[in-house]
Amino acid sequence: MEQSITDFNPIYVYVVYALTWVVLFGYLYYLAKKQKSIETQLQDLKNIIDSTKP
Amino acid sequence: MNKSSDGERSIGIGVNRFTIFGLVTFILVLIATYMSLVVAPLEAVQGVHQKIFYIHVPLAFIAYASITVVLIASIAFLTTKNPKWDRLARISAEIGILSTTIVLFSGSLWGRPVWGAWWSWSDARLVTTLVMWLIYMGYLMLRSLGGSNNQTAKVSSIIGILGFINVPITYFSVYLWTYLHPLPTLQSSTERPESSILMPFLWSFLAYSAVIILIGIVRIKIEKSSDELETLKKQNQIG
Amino acid sequence: MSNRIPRIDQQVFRLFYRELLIEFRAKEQLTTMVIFALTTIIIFQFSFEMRTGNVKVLVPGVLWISVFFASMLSLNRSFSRDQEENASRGIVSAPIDPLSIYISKVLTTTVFLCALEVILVPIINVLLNSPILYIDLIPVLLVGNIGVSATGAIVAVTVANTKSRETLLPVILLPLLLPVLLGCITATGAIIDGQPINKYVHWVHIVAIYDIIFTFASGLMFHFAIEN
Repeated sequence: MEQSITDFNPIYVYVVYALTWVVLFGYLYYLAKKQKSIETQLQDLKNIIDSTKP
Repeated sequence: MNKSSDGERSIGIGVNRFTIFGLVTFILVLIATYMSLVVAPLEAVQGVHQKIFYIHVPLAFIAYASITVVLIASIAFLTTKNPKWDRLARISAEIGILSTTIVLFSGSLWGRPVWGAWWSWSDARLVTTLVMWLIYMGYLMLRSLGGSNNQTAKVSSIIGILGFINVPITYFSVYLWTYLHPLPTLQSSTERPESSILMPFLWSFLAYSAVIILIGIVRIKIEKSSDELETLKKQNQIG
Repeated sequence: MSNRIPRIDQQVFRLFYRELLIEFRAKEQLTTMVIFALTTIIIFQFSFEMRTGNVKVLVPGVLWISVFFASMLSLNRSFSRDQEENASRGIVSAPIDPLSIYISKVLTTTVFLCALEVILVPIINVLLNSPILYIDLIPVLLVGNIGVSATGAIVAVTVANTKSRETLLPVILLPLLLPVLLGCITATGAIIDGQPINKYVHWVHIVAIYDIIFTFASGLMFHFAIEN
């Protein structure tokens, strides 16, 4: 079997692991930020409502 | 000042449990990576590239599990009309697309050094995964371009069910087709699992399932919070 | 006025007859499909002749891609016309079983595709200089048409209420039809190459099984798609 430079070059493995983490944890991070922002909006709205109640 | 003690309690406990789960997930991923890259033995034929298997296969399982959840949730929605099932279907489809995308590019990056090509039309699993990706992208497009909410939910459920039925038929068709055009596939290389491969695989499976579940939980929280926000806004425009 | 609701086969026949009557008077669907398919063939001829030198190898693909895209036209028109004329509300509120609507749509589309192929196959034979007029092709064409119509009918009604139904229809339909296209193209290729029946009959079986499964599943779910 011919041996090419890609045979022992582990770069492919590193790229796959790195990309997977970036995609999964990146998406998780994006979701967490979105969740925080909605929570803040919710909280603000609740505060406004409470403060306008007699 | 938050007067609602219920809200405070639920947000408080939610954050704590959630953060712990997040931490555990992260540790699991570290363990799985260590097991896959360091502990797992170097395979004779493929060398170091075989280690991509530890990401490709668990995420493939997760992808197929996600579309099964879409199927179940779609059927449940059509029969019970409860919108919670519709929400579950949508979230599972997004998770399914996420995992399928990772399966596709890890498969491609595995194929390139091992067979010398970025893609193989003879690998029935890879091709079926591509078709699956297309079907569920269509599903998500349908949801975002849909008309009235209830109608969109119903028709999305129909497509979710048809999509699931299509996957095994497509797999079988492509597999039969590849009989005529045999080329190297990823399948032959994963046929003999030894125990030394099994342990890193199980850790990886556990770790990435945890990540996916984490994503699911946050998504559900987002949906719940936005629903609450919407209801509150509507109530107070009236009230 | 009769109190008896017509039986399903009667309903199907009436709806089917109505569709054919509309088409016969307007003659627009079939004409559009034929012209569209012809243009596709011409484009294929010019794009591939120089590069392969032998367009005949592409004939199965050309045939089925033309059929597939022509079916998109037919399905879009069939459902949007009903909506334009507000006929859909009339149909849904009448005491007609949604299953009859589904079956009649599938029948109509299948018949149109068959009519298209009756015109198209000889044209391909002539224009691409490729013998394709084999009687063995008929079962392949039939199962393929049924498959395209069965899945197409339910997907078309699914996207009918969305904002960009013309774009969504092919996006959702094509991946779902892959087994049909794969099977029919392979079988057509085998027939053109003169291979014995046992070499390609399993494809006809697979597409037939697809047809049965998808017709059954779509028939079950069709009423969800049209109720409002």
